[in-house]
Amino acid sequence: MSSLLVIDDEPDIHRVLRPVLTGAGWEVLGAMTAAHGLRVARANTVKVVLLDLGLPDADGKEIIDQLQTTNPLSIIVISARHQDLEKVAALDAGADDYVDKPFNIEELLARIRVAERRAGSWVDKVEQHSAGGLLLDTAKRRVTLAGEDIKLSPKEFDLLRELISNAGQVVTHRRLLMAGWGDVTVDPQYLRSYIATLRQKLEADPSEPQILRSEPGVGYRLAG
Amino acid sequence: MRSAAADAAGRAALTDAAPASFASRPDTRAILSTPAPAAVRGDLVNGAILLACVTGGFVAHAHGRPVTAASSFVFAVVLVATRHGLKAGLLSAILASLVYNLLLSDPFLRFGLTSIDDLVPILAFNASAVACAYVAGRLKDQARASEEAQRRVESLLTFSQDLQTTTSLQDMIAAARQSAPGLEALELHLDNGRVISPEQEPTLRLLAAQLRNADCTSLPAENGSMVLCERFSDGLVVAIVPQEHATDAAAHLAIIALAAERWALTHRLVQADVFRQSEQFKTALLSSVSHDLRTPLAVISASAGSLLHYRESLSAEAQQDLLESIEQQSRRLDQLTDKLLSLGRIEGGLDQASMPTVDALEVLGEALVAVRQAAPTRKITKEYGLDHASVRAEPSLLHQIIANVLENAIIHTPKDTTVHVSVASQGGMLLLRVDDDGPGVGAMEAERIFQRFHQGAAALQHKRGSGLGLSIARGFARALGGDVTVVARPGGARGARFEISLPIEEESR
Repeated sequence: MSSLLVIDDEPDIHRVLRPVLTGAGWEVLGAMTAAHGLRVARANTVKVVLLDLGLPDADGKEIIDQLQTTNPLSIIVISARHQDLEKVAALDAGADDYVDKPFNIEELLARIRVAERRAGSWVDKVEQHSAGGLLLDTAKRRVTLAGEDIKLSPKEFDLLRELISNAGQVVTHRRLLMAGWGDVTVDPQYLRSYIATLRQKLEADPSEPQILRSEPGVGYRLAG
Repeated sequence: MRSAAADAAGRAALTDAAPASFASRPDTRAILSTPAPAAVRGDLVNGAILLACVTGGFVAHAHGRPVTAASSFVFAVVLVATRHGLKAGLLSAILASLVYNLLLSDPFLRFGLTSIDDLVPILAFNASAVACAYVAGRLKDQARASEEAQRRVESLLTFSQDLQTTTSLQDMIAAARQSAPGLEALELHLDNGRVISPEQEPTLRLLAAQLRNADCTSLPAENGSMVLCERFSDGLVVAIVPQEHATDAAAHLAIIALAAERWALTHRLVQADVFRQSEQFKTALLSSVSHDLRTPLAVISASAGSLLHYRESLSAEAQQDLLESIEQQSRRLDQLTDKLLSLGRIEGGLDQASMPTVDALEVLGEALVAVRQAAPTRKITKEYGLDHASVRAEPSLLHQIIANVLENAIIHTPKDTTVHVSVASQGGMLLLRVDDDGPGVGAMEAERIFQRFHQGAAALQHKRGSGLGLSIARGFARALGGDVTVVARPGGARGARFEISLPIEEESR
């Protein structure tokens, strides 16, 4: 059975999450502090971590790095809404996704499923990525949408590959700048205009994107 | 030293130039187009004066009155020198000397200075010419200077009147660009980081930062230009001008700084007003919170209690119903908490300078996706005049502004009517308009709907909405240097238009 670790200092959150996660087939481990969370992660084969950012003994994002050196695991940050900067910092520190508190339980379970898939393909040898009817063949550098070929420039392809290999999870502006330009100091306006072109090619209505969603202030998320 | 021709041209230029602006001084134009006729006319008049006086001199001489004869020559020289300056004066003095010496003084028709009586008139002619030309020249210079000064004052007056009617900093800069001569750059740098520039990209950021540290002391820039700086309570007015226009530009800058000060004061008055209302707000909040928070809490508590203690006696259907209402009411509580937190942030004041820039159209897109999910049958049309518009805002604030205004339109209009969303920019402001085909908003209601806890008749009937959405949208928009207003739809169409305006950092079409 795969293990899921909940690190949160609110006992009620553990109490309400444990039954539903167990019901979804997880072995649920819990920790109330950052230090305890790290110990549990080292002692077990944890696949997914739900990490609250406001812990009594440390800022949650400070242990993201240490958590990831223990096991190949996916981290979903649980944050209060309106903390865009905190979210971005946690994601840039290596977290895979975030969920706002109070969360909708169905949405949380969906995000956990995406994170589990990602944790499974830790060493990513999959040549083809697919999400939401989009198929991207890395070897042939070919992209199809619902079976139809889409012509992309090399940079558009790199950006889409980054998004599609994290399908369902948010990808920060910084990570996309790294993927497209190999340089995080590039003017984010370039990224914005490339995303606009990608939407022209992928979306039925680029001004109300359904596939390449925006998380304003954080990044982009490929629906999938 | 001036030539008669240039003098005449200068006069013509002065009369021409009176109503003209600083930007296009017509001196050169006047010199090129009008000198010849004026000079010829001047020479003719001079000739006539000389002729008249010389004739007078002869007549006096013939009647044996040498003093009168000499005086009439002096009179001619004085007149010419006064009218046309040194060169013409000296010329006529020499002419007068020759004529006097040849024709009036002995020996007749021969040059010669035989007595002091021959020399004195010649000296008198020339000395009069020099003295008169000097005095006349100074008078003319003074007249010219005072006309120039008056012209500048008038231009500054017009400029300051223009500024009285501007409401945005952007318009002030535009007016200054029109009025002040030779401005190479002009920008407003607010202390909160906002920059108002006529260019797409502000060019004086570094300079403004230096000036801010150096107490706004004006300093010379490269290649003969000057950097000018004026402080007002919320920022700096910075300009680069060529040396020769520095005085004019400095006066303009002072006026802009005054106008910006007025703008800042108005803004602060609005904020003071908001603060004054905060006591009333707290009272209203307490009474509303007790009602709005307790209702969903009561439902949750009763449902959970029933399930916990009386599950056996409840049908499966009833149990499902109770569970659903727990989830539903929790969501309502969550939304209300969000709104109360937002009000708290508005009350506490927001620091726009520390916020990032976001693409408002991207936020609008996400808000529309969410609205369509919540009201899938509702018809929403769009018309975008822009591809992209960056504004300085926290994404979540911007989302609330847009989502609240959209939600308001959806809640307060019949389900079968259309909501029309359009995007435009005007005078540096992004305009997001939400038009509806509903009953419209009466003049009496137009301001009240932005007050906290105001609920429209429809909302009260359907028990939807918290009466906070528009108040939050306006509070946030104003904190971001914009506003939310309601106006009648153009062309007398039925319904209301809600307009969100926000200062644009960068746009593209």
